[in-house]
Amino acid sequence: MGMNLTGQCHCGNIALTLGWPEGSAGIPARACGCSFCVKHGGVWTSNANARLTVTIRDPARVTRYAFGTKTATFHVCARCGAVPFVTSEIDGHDYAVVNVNVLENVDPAWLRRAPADFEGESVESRLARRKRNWIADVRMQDAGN
Amino acid sequence: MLTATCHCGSVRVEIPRKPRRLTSCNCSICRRYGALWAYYKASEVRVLSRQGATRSYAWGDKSLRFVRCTKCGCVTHWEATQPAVGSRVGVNARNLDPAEIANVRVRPFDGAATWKFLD
Repeated sequence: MGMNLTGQCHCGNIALTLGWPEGSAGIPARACGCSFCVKHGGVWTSNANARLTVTIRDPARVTRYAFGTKTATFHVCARCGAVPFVTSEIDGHDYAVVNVNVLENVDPAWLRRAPADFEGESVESRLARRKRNWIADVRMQDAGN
Repeated sequence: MLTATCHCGSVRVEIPRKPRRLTSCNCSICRRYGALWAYYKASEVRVLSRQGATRSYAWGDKSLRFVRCTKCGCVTHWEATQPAVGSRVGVNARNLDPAEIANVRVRPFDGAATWKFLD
């Protein structure tokens, strides 16, 4: 792994470590144009070869929200309201993207900011894209255990 | 009048007029919310939601609370925890129709360090 990016929601209930692979040219930061992400100012990153570890202190205080095709689940901290990551379950496997806005040790110069718009994409191609681009190694752990 | 609505429609915030400018703050909470703030007098803003449809979060000196939709998590506004005459409210303009704010100037505010505008 090239480096570990770390982040958390504001109150610390949801913490994450993103192991970023070596040799990647910067960190993509996609400002998604969908109705949900616009309202949340969501800017997302992923790398198919990254490893995401999510540590949740109190799982009862995480709200999940899905809309539209309901193929993506937004994980919202029920205490502070931040949305640190999104998952998509495809063929029984969780893929994820991370909200750049919750990362804490990222040099802004590393970010490759770009708008993203997936409006009109079929569900099939949407899932295929996520399988290609989203983080495939997602580990969830309960901090209490 | 304009209405800012969360994603699921459970919370609506009515504001009297289009904002003249917006604030993008880099402090620990605002950057996580990805919010764009438009400021109004509390008396000019009307929040429409059923009881229990919102949750709030206060931190630090807890003089402000950030209000969001319980269901979809969209942060709709901040308000004083102990409102007084003349209190202001920050309405999250991300919940407005994007076309309404397309040409409104966004001012970057350094809430993380110097507490000054960066432009």
